[in-house]
Amino acid sequence: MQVELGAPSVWLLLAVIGAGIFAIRLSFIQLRGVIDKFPPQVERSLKFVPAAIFSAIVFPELFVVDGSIGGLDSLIAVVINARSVAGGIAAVVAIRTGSILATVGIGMAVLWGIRAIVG
Amino acid sequence: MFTIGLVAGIAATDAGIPPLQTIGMGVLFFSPGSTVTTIELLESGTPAVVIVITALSVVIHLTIVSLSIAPYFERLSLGWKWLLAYLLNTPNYALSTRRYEVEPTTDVRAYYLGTGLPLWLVWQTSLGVGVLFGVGVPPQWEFDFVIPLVFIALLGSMLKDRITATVACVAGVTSVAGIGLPLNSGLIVAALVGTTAGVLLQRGRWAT
Repeated sequence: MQVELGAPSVWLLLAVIGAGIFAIRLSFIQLRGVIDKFPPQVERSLKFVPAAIFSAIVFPELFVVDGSIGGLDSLIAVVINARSVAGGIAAVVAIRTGSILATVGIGMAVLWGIRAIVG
Repeated sequence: MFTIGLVAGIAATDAGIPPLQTIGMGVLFFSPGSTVTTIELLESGTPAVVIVITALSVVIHLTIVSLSIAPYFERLSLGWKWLLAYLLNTPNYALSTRRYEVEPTTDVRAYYLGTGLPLWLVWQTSLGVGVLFGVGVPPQWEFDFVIPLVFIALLGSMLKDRITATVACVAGVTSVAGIGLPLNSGLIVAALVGTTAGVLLQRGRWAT
């Protein structure tokens, strides 16, 4: 089921997610004593999840233009588009500075710069 | 946190999410990661089931935090446990547990609220200010792009070791390859493949 922006059903969706997040937070505070510790491997695996999800969301935003990655002929155009270039530079800034403000600011500046030049 | 709230508020409004719903996300979730994820997925027309799974997976590591802080909350009443659980985020968890260890006589509730409530206020305020700004941002500024940039910023702070970097690359490439999958499920598949790659790599390293 696709959710329409702004529809009343969005509130239901938000409530479900909110309840789920609360349950995750409360989990072992409530169930104290069920387990003492996560096995170290499980703990590290859980820590990978956010990185995997954020990356899975970002890559298509940068490299997918108009809903497809296209054929080989358009591959270069896909890899070198305004958003992938801006995103790539932003990634360097993010790793170097660790600053969210700098990453977002420079990323947007590069995007606007490319749009101003290329049109 | 203030920066994320600000740009998330602007981007959400720019994407057409009503201000009240964005504020609602702030209060119901109190989680920057889940909020930004939900805004992005709502905007791209992702099915509700996928949004729920993804937004919850983003904070699944809070189970570790919950387990780790549980001993300190053991003697509190149910009401307090629920209130403190609602406020549980990594920064106030880290501050509180460090203090509890160094200073065992610390008032558990007071110190925790002292770290959690300011965090809560900053988050709601920044999101609200962002929403106000967002109303005036013209669409040709492509402000929707700030959401991927926030993800890139968050990723940048996570990629401290080679395994996590590999996890991110594998998940990203799988996600692009899985664009055509029904119900936008490529996202979930990619997150699973990426995490599995991390688990395998880790096991490989331990074996040697």
